[in-house]
Amino acid sequence: MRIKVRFYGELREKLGVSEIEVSASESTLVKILEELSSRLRGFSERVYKEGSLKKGILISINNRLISPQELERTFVRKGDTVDIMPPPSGG
Amino acid sequence: MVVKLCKKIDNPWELLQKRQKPENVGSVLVFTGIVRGIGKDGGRVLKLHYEAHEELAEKVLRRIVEEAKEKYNLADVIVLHKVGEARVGEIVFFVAVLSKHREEGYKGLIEIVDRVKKEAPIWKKEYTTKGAYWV
Repeated sequence: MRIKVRFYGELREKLGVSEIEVSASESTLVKILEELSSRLRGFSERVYKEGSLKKGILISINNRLISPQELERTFVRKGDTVDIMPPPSGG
Repeated sequence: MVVKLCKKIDNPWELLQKRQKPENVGSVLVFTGIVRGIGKDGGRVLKLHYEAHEELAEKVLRRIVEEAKEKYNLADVIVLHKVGEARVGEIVFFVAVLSKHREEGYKGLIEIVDRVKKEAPIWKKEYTTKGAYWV
């Protein structure tokens, strides 16, 4: 199955990609993050490394925010869109 | 309650003026965020660019406002936030809080402003005479 992953703001610029497709069998969000770590240069230092999410990073699946505590038990399904966002800086 | 991401925050005062004020409202507090002329790098600001995950941001803003309304018993709240390019002096963030008394209004206003800055998926890039960087 294919999962769409989108990046925003500074992350999009630093990683050099706005959208990427990940192929995975029935998978947890953590597995998707691990795959992205191996595919995208700079991902592990900016987003996710050795089981932990970098401070302030936001992740949503189909516009539902996922808390860092939920990562391990969150599954992604065919057609899902995962958004990975830098720490907010609005206002 | 009004929660909106806008390309231009044109005349928020008029919107506030037109909102119906329940009879028990005795306090209207407003926070207005504008683009500062000096950037973080010390250079003169040429422009800011606001980017948002719009669908998610509106959802987050709505949740923040609903929670503050409940917590501080606020009568009405308006939150407007800019997206796109902004010039120095332009209004980019507007929050109005209507409440029975000023005490709960102050607390609610501070909490809404702080939470929006920390939680809503909105980002800004500053362009100055010295360079460009995400804030």
